[in-house]
Amino acid sequence: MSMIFRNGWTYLILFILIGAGCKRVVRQEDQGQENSAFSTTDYKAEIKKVMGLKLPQKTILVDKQYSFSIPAHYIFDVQRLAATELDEDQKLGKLDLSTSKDSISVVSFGNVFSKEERLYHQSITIIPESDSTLLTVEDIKADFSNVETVYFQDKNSIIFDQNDNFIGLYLAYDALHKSYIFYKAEMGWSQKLPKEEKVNLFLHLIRNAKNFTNKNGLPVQFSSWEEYAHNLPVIEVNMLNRFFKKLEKEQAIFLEEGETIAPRTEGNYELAALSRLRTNEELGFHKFIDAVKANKVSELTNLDYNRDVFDVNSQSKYTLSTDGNCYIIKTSHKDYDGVFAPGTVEVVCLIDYRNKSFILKTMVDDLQTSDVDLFVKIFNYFSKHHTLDLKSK
Amino acid sequence: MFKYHILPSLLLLTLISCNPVGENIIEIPLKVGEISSAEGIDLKKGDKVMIWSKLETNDKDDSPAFKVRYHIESEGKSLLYDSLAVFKGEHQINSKKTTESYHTNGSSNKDSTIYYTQHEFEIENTQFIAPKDGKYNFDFKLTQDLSSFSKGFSILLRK
Repeated sequence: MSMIFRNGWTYLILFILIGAGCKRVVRQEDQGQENSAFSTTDYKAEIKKVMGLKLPQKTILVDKQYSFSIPAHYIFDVQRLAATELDEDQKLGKLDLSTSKDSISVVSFGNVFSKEERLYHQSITIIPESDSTLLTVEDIKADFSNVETVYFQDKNSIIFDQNDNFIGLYLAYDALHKSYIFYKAEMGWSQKLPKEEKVNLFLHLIRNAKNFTNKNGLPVQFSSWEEYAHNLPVIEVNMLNRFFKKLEKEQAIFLEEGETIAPRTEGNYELAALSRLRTNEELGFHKFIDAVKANKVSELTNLDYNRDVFDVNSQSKYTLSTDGNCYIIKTSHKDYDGVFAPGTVEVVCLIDYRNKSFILKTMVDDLQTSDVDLFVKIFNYFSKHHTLDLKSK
Repeated sequence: MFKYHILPSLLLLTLISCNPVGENIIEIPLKVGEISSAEGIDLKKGDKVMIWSKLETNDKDDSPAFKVRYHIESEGKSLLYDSLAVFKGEHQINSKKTTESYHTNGSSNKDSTIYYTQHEFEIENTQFIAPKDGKYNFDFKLTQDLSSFSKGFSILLRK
């Protein structure tokens, strides 16, 4: 009996020893963003750098009279609001917008690849008002309580944060149309991004705003993605890089013949789709391009090769231009009354990678020819280098 | 007398020690159609990485189907591209069954409650042995998920 008891103790001690030695270690990857301090000197150098950058521009006409120069890859939307549609007491500095006699126009816009991301909002409000001395940026800033740090300020613009929200304001007076042009950009506190990247973005946005009514700027044209990458906000370049990293791996490894992939952006939107083509799909696409060139799409038969690759309807009207490896295809569909609807544009690029054929195409609705240069440059770069990583830093 | 127990004790020690399922390296949640990666995993030559699937099935699904393709690379060199046999594996752990329910409108317009069993578990699918010291990238793509009520699919890498 005592032997069993003694052996029992031996086993118990052994088990305790084993148990103690077997602590399971679970290592968690730290995904947190580093939030490094932003020194004043860095920030001065950053202002100088960003204010000197340039982007291809396009001119938009709002309410048939206000013309604005905005980055060419921006999409915009105009809303006209009567003062009665505004909330009571909607004030901007000393201006009470809800008592305005004239309607107010709000131009909201964003770039083609993150308009839907809700990463930040930006808008221009056009406020008719004959007194050009009523408003200053300083007055509007005073509408915001708890302003924490001011990162940039000059006569007509300011960048600051308020309760971790980032805000950029720009104000100009259009003497010809007797209206205030008020620009506001805002990024909510929930965007957990390094502060220096937010400052970088808002400096870009304020620089864009300063160009809205600049009629003297020389037209800028970029020849490659590299130029865009050096002139776009860091946040946006990183976002595009992360998205194309997914396509890079799909192209190199995962995508099989006949498959199409349209990865979601971080904001859960589609941006571009990549298809790996079967031989008949590649031939079908070439046949379609030849038919567009010869104006013979209506004669095409046997079009159902793969609608994911490129949807061709022999009843629709197509126009085509090329840029490097990219086709810029404008499609107008016929509606029920037999009338052609205004066309929209897709950028489509054929890629050859290690003897495998791919098609890369845009997945953004309602694009126009004037919006797509950025996509064309990105697609051309990707089709050549099979990555968006820059060869020269 | 004690010496007769040394051998079985040592055997027990080998069996139990240390951590039979290995140490967790990382958990990678997968979404259908998306590539998810674990990058820069430090491995020594001969290190064995076990690839586990963590999933849920339920008895309402006739044939739950998950398809996962994976790719392992090191220093820009592709080492392995294969598919996981998700339901095949020698070890199954952390198994948990729960009864859940939902309401439905029956044909006689009466509310009825449907009960089903949700089964959550982890299963070891395959192993990878590092051919040399270095940093390794593991990419996974869930190409098909035909399960209903699934609360997610993850890959667990254990060493």
